[in-house]
Amino acid sequence: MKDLIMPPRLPLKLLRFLIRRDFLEEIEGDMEEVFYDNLELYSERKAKWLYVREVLLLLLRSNLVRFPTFTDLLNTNIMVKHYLQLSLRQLGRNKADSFLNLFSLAVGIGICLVICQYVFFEMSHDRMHSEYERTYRVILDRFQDGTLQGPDLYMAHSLGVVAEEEVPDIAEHVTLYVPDEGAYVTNLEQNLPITVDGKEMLFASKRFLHVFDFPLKMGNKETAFDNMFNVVITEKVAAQLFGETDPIGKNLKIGGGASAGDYLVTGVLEDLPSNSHLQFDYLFPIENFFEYGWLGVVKREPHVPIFANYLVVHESASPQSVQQQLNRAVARYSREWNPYENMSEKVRLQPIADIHLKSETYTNADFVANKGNLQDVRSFIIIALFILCIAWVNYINLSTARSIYRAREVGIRKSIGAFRQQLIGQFLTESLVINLLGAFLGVGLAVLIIPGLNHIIGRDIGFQLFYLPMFWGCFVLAILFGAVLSGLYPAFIISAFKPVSVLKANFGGKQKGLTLRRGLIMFQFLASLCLMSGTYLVYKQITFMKSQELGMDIKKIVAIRGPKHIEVLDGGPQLTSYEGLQAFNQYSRKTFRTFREEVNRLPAISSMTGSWSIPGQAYGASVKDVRKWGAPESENRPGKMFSVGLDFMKTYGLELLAGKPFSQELSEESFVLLNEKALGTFGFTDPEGALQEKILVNDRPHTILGVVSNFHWKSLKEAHTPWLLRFVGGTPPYISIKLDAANAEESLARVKATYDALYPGNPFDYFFVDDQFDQQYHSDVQFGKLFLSFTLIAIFIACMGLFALVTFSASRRIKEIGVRKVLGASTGNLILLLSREYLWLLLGAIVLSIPAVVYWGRTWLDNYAFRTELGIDFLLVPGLVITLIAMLTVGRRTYFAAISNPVDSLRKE
Amino acid sequence: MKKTKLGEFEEFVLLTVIVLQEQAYGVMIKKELEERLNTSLSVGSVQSALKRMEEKGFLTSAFGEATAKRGGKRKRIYSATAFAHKVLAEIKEIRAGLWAAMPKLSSL
Repeated sequence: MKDLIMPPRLPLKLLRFLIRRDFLEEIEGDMEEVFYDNLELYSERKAKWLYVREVLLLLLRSNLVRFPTFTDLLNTNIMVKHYLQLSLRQLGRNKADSFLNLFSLAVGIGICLVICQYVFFEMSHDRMHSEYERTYRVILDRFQDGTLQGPDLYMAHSLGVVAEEEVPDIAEHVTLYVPDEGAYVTNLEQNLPITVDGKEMLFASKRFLHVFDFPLKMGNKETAFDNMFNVVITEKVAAQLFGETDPIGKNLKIGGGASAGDYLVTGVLEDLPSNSHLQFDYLFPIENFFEYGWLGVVKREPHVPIFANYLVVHESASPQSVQQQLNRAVARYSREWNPYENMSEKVRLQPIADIHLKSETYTNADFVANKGNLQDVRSFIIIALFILCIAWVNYINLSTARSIYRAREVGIRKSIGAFRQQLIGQFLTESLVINLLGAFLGVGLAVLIIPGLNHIIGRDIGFQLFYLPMFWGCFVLAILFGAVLSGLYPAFIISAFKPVSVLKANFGGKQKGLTLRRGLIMFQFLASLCLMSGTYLVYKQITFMKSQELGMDIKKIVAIRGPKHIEVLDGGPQLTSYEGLQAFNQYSRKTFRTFREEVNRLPAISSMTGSWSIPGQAYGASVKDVRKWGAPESENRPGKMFSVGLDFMKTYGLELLAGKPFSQELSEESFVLLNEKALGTFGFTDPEGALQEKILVNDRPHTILGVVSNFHWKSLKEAHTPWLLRFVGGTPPYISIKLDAANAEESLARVKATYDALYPGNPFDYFFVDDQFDQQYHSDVQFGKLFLSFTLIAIFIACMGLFALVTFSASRRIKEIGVRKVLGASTGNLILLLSREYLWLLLGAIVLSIPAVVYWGRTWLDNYAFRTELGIDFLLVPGLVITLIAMLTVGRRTYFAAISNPVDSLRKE
Repeated sequence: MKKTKLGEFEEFVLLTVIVLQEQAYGVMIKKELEERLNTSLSVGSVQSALKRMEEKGFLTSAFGEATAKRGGKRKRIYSATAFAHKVLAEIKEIRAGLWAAMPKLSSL
């Protein structure tokens, strides 16, 4: 009895394969003896387990094992060689099927790889810095009467000083400032000014390049910031400004903007990787900004909250403890910069690796240059899995369906002595061969697709994943897993045929694996439906956002970037004193008035205005403390404010609910317009009642001149904000001109002439406001495009599988069709007969898909403040489209089967 | 001592081989040692030590009989070489010398 029990087979094989040949007999004998000894002592299970353990321990002994050579592999696995040969022959035999399988697998795997790389790229943000795990961004949570007012990234400079002085566990601390207005930059040798956006400039602490490892191509990071008037530029800008010549030691003139002056180039950075959330082209020392920025604003108002803080925590310290220490220090000092009793502040540390995907919505979020979306990433992972599964399902379906054709082969093999296991091995090998070939082609495909994808999303996602050996390990494992998974079921089905029945003349009545196949087709329908619904919803939302009334008219408005510097003629006022500043402002106002008069005289221009912000932009617009005159400090609410010039309402077509627009006689900076939202927020009941009331903005009183209806200054992702529009008459950063369609070109040329005459030395840059506004939906449109392309690919693969399957089943029923036709069935009847099954499956899939897509749709739409309804069309349209595609696929094939001449099919018997 | 090192475990295995005489094959050595050391040993550890010592010249071996329990595979019977005996005696002597030279410890 006992000798019936054998040592477990697989470990024994391993043992035979890996133990040195000359020791094998003795050791194998020893192992067997120990095994039978154990069998007397313990249960069979335990004895076997002990055997496995012993084998593993044996294999750890380097003086007992050998390394198998290649010939070993071939000799011991002559069977495998045979399997391989048969698989390749099988591939060649059914060219159409093999092509279909191979193609769908290659596309599936290729797309999957591309998405993996994309996800990896999204995940890799800000991880290029050597200390990224210990580097944190400081987030400030503001509380009013204990309720959270929302997180903010900008804080007073003094907070950074407190952090550095009071918290010893902070290894490095970096203060950053991004100006909200641009400047122009001139290479003094060529004297060609270029306009630079505010967000392309970054003021940073000396240690910036030590904390963030952006590699310097030229220059020395120790000394680059030795002088306040040094600047470090990126390679791209260096090429733009200096061409081939060496930029180090050259002078750059910065005009206008936060801190004008002549700067010395001391370093050139390699272009910043696109997976960094910090994106800039010019890097200035922040000491310069403290001293001269905005004519010394930090000196005048030391607590102005405009700085972002990053810190590196000491290796020995935990971020939690640093956060606590920091909060204690903030609590002690915050009275200095926050005078309100009922307001309190708490800081939070956010790991920089979380910034890209896990950032919340901040009161002012422009700091994050390219904010990602975790949900998009998740959606793409699901798409990748869907596509891969659809490809595997195709393989399963086709091979089970085709099993009939292989039944005879199996019968013969079995009757000449093949074991079932050997047959399973054979079929698994076939699956493996197809999968590996598919994987090989898939990798090639991915390499081809990624540049195209880069083009679509406008960023270089790179191939980093492809350089990781770890990834390839996982990849091969996944492919093997998929190969076994998709090969196992057909292998079991086919190998189970009984030789006696399959070798009979007319075998083939009963089909095996029908339920599973139906389930899988349903899955394919379901996956296609989900993807289709997703695409439909994304496009529906984008269309909705673009078609929504903005509450203003931005069509045909051209925005000119205002002059960054105004040449003061005739030795006019100097900007060193307050009086000088005032005189300058007056001058700027006068110049702009002249400009406006000149431009308004041009024929094709219906209106023009100046503004400190343009639609789609939200620079520097946040004001934290706004309240009605006479209300207590605890009523302070945050709002957004920007300055506008004369005719703003006319140019942008805002609807006035009460009051009147700005007029030339008004004194500056003390009159505001409110929108409806602001009306409610700051405690006014109706538009009329608010007129001529006073409102305190950061404790400065403003008179409410009028109320306008709500307008969407920013994307419809964001809810209506309480806006305050303040009147300023000086030369603005943006000059908006409403053009009549006719003669637009010519008018612009004349505007340019006026501009050049009044603001010499400034570049004339302009753009269309509606284009700029639509840029905000860029990432949504991108997401939609990607979603659409992946969906089309998935549906295409699924359809190919379906088509092959229908072809197959029609050909199996060709005789039945013939007989039915002879007996008088119409073509329509026959088509229905053949496709009914699929229609039912499709219907089932539609019903099943509803909860999933509704749930996903709701969650996705939650990102948008103004969102379209899910609606009945959301459930119907994708279903109809898929039905149509499925009908075309199935119908085309069944139609040809139905119109075939019964004589052809019934003749041969 | 000689250049050829004899580890502690190897020494045990070697002594067991001498004790077991004609019975000295893998499983027997393992059993004997497990009993004496009051621990469980893996086939691998014993086999590895045997092969090592054979290579160093402490042991020689020859195939013995095959039994049914071993699935018809032959045993390999090990025996110690004269060199092994010499080394063992030497080790014992050194140890004895050290023990003798040890000062009498107080009851501490």
